[in-house]
This record gives sequence, C-alpha cells and structure tokens, in this order.
Amino acid sequence: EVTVSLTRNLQLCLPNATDCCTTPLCVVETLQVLACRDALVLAHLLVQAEIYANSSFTGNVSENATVIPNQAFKPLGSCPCDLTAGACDVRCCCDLECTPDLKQLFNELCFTGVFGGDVNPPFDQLCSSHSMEYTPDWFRFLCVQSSLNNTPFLGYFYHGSISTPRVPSFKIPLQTSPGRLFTGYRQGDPIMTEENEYFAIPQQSMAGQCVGNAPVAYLQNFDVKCLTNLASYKKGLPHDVRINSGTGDFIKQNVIYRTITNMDKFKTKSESLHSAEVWCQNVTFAEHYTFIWKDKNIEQVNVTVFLGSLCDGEILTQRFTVKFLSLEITTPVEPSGNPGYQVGKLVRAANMNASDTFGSLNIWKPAGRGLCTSATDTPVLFGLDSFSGCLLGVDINEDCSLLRGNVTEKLDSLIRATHIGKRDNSSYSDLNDWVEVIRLDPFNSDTNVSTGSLKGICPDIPANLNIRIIFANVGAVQGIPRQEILAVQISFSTVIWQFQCGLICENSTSFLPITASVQFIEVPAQPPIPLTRSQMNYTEFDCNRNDVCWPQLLYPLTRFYSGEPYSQCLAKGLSLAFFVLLAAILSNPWFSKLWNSSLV
Amino acid sequence: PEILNNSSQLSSLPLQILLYVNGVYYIFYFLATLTMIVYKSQVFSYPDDFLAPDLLVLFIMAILEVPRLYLGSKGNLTEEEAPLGLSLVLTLGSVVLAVYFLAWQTYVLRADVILNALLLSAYGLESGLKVMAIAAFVS
Repeated sequence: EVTVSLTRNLQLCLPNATDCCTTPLCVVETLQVLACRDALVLAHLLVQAEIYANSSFTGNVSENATVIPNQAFKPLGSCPCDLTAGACDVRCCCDLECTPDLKQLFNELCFTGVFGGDVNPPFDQLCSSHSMEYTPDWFRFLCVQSSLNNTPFLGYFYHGSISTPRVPSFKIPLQTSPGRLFTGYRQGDPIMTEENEYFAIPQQSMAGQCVGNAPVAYLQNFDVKCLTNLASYKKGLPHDVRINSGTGDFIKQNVIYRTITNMDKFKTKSESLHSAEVWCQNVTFAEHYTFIWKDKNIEQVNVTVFLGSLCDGEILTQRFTVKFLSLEITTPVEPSGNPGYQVGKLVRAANMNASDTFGSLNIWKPAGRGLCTSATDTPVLFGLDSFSGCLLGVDINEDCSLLRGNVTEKLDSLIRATHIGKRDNSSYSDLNDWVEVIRLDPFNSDTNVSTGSLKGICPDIPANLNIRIIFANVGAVQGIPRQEILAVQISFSTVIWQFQCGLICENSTSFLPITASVQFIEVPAQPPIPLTRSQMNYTEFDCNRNDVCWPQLLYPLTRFYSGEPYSQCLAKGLSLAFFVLLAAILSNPWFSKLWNSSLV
Repeated sequence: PEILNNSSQLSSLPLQILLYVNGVYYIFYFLATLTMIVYKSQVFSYPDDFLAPDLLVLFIMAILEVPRLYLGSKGNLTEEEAPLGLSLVLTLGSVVLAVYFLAWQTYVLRADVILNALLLSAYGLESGLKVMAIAAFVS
C-alpha cells in the first residue's frame, strides 16, 4: 500500500486568470507513478484529477433527439466506447469529448477493434489490405480502390423497412364451435356431433395423462389406456349422441354392450379394505369404436362397450380404441415414385383381352383353417419370393379329370392377366411397357390315361403353380437402382394325389394341398465387357500405365476433367472459340472495308 | 488535277488516328465496365439501389460517344469548325462522366482506375488536338 500526498497548492485548470468564470472553475492535477526495479520501469500509472467548483446546472436540457444517420452509409454507434455523455471516456480515442491533451495521456492504451471505434475495418477486397495470405490472381486488377467510406458491409443488416409491432390481444379465444357448412371431413378435422360439439373420447394428452374431452380427429386411429379410480371416474358422452356424417345428416352409433368376466386384467386393488361396506359402481372398462368412412364422410359407427363393476379402492385401466376403416376391404399398395419396381410394391398386371384391361396376379391368402373355400387372394409383391397354398377337400370317389379341371380352374383364378408391366408406371396404352405372360400349360391329359379305373389315386394333378419372374437392374434413378421385369413364366408342377386313409378307409374327404409359388430371378443386364488382348498389351492410350496421357490432350474439354461441371467447361470452350472466330472475322479485309465506309 | 501538299491540307492526321483508336478502345471500355459492374453487383452489396445510377451513367456515356466521334471525324475531314466545336463540347461531358467512373462510383476497382485513366488521357489529347485543328481551320 502506497500513500502519496501533495504538498504544494492546487493549480487552476486554465492558467490564464482572465478566463475566469466563463468556463466552470476547476483545478487540475496530474500525477504519474512509476514502479521500477533496478532502474527498469516495470509499470506506470497516470492519475489526473480535475476538480470542479460546485455549481448548479444552468444549461438547457436539449430537447432534440439524436439524429440517427442513414445506416446504409454510416454505421450506428460509430464510437461504441463513448459511454458517458458530456465527459471524456478514458482510453476511448474516438470520443469527441476528449480534448487532445487528455488523449495524449492514454494514447498508447486506446481500445482497439470495433469497441474502440474501428467500426469500419478494412475488408478483404480492399487494395490496401495485405492481411490475406491468399490473394487470387485477379486481385491486382479487381481490388477495390475506393475509400473505406463505401464498404460492402455498411448497412448490411439495415433495409430501411419499418415493422409495426403487433399489439398482443389478450383475449382468450372462445371455444366457439365452427359453424361452417359441412362439406365433409378432411384428415385431422374434429368429428362433430349433432349439437355441433366435438365428439370426445378420452385420449392421452401431451403431458401423458388422459384428458376426458379430447376430440377425435378424422382418419386418426389411436389406442389409449387410461388409469382411473372410482373417485375420479367420469362418464363419457352418452352413446345415443348422433354424429355428423360429413354431408349434413346424422348417424346413430351402433352400440354393442358386453360385460367383462375376467376383470382382473383391467383392475388392480390398491388398498386392502374390509370387504364389508364396499361401494361399487358399473363403469365402462373399454370402448372400441370403428368408424367406417368413404371419401370425406362417415358411413357407419360401430361401438363395442365393455362394462364392469369398479369398487372403491381399485385402480382401473380403461382402454379406448378408435379405428377408421374404409369400405373397400382390400389393402391397396400405392405405386412408388421410382419408375422401376421396388421391393414390396405391387406387380402391375393387365389383361389385354378384357374390356377394361384390368388384370391381377395373386397368390393364395388362406384364412381360418386353410381351406380353399375360405381362402382369399393377395396380390404378388415385387421382390418377395412367396409360397402359399390352401387345402382342397377331395372326395374319395372324385373323378380324376374332374379333379384336374377343378384344380386348374382354381389356380387359373389366381392369374387373371395376360401381360405384366415392365415398370411400375407402365401405361395401359403402350404395349411396349408390358411383357406377355408365358404360360406352360400342364400336360393336357385328354389322352385319357387309363388309371381312371383305380379309385383314390390320381396322377398328374397340376397342383403347384410356379410363377417365375425374371427381372434385371436397368440403371439407377437418383442413386436408387431401378429394376424392370423382363419376363414372366407360369408353369404347373404335377403331383400324384392319393387318398389318405386313416385306420379305416372311410368315405370322407381328404385334403389336397394346392400351392402357388412366386420366384424372382435376377439376371445381369450387361455382363462386364471382357478386355481384348490389345487392350491388355498395348499401353499407348492407357493413362494408368503410360507417362503420356494422350486422351487428355484436350484436357478441359474431355470427360476426364472433374474440376468444374462439364457444362461450364463447354461454355468456356465455346466462348473462346467464339472470340477466335470474331478475331478472324474482324481481321478480314472485307470487314475493314465495311468499317471504313461507316466511319467516313 | 489538284496537288495536295501538306500546307494546304488542314485536316489533322493525328486527330483522325486518335479518333479511330478512341472508337475501338471505347467499345472495349464499355464492355469491360459493364462486366465489372455486373461483377460488383454480385460480390458487393449496393445500398439503397445505387446500382441504377452507375448503369445509367455508363449508358449515357455510350450514347454520347457515338455522335462525339462522328462529329469530330466529320469536322476534321471536311475542315469545318462547327462539328468539331460541338464534338469538343461533347468531349467535356464525356470527361465529367469518366471522372465519375474514376472517383465517384460506389466501388472503384483498380481496373476501373486504369481504364478510366487511359480514357481520360485520350480525351485530353483529343481535346488539345481539336483545339489546334479549330485554330487551323479558323485562321
């Protein structure tokens, strides 16, 4: 700790005594403290004190607002370190209130950079800026020579446009139901009831808990489980509420009530109470809604409500499901954007003999017990090898040729197409987009094989249908390989059917499995071109094995150049050729004659 | 047949050469300045639509240049003072516009400085020669 004391009188700020009292009276004293060690100055400290006589402020308070210069030409805040108005900020060299004497005191210690007032630093393209390590070749001619007052960064963020602030309206939006004319539901629209209210089913909110009056969105399935107990149980909407179908008329809900027998799946006992006085109530355990929709309207609402009793002290897991089903039962697979086939998409089939050219290529989709009588078909999906079948019941007394006909007819019902599309976007009008289905029909047993006398055994039953689809990779669309179908072959494999007896050969039916299998075979589109012997031995034009690379003589114009896009290379080459042509034309004597005649 | 010897021919040959060279040089100058303005508009930002005046001045200069050269050439060859005088006045206008491109443009590139300096020197030389030619014709 150092104490410094002054022993002489204070001096007036202005030594000339005649200047008294036009400027405020003040005294000034400057002190410099040096810290030395071994005659070396380690640090110095400048202290200057300006002491003013206590006087009341007699000036005018300026009412003028500070004029803000146009930001496009002068940056706002040209001196960011000028923080105090009316006084000099220490170490701020751009402060206008600092007199030159004061500035001299802290001259070397000014703030640098933007804070110190350098709001317009020299930018890279200035001719006088040498800070860039890398100056491109054109820099000598295309550097900016004009003064720093015009920089590209001035006013960069200022466009001069005024934005009016929006006064926030503190009105809570009223829950007015949309009284619009009903033109049908779009996906996501809330389903409305007859009284123009939201049709609500308990759903899970964003926070995780169930909310009771959440509207149901059109075409949005959900399946929620909500926990509730007797105290917080809230009855939902009554089931006789009619729902707006979208066209303006209202449909009733078809409700089926069921009671739950196995209540333990839904309930858990939380506290063990004495079973004497237990308050129980009939509540809904689960509700399953099925909305059958078509286009923008709801056709039907089917509800299955499971009721049960809930007692005090038990926690119930309620389940609510909503499913939107369309009237068409089939699950259509939509075509993909890639013109080629993609794995999993429908194989396009057409029946050129039919009037509407609509065809289908299906395989079995068994249901229930696997019987052919109850089986449906599912379309063949590209790239997925499948094998499916169903069981056909055959009587022991079945006639073999009749059986053959029956089986063939059943298998033929799967193939209702004469042509298969090469690509996913094959159009029905262009026959080149389709390949004809090659059918290898089973060996026609019209030749009356004479085993018809034996009962219970039939040879040559074409019970297996083989669909072989040959496809190839024919290029890529945006990196995704495109596959096209080259050929389709349908053939039948025969089996020998024998009636399977049990312990006793009863007069019952035996089952014959008829199967359909789809096989996708990939063929290479182009085999790799084998190298000729001259290509292997002669290295003159091979850039990899030769020092001189002749194919790249016209380097920027050949395909080997990968610096710029080929179109740019070509453009530059063509403009160069244009200029050469122009020079040739201009140097032609005919042209100089034309020029002279125009100048006179 | 008239014998034309140097003393009776008042047309100034250096002026004619200079006018011819000026014509060719101006075409190059116009294309180069236009390209550079396009370059500047892409690389730098022009505040408050200052690009339009720059382009306007360039086109005015081009429009001014054609009658200027034509009148100068015609006046020199037909040894008349009137077109030559008019050409001199137009030269003064062109000088002002060249100074605009040299110093008062929004962004002045070094190539701008070189081109305009050459143009100004050509104008200066031309003006001097025109004055001498007018003096020769008048007297």
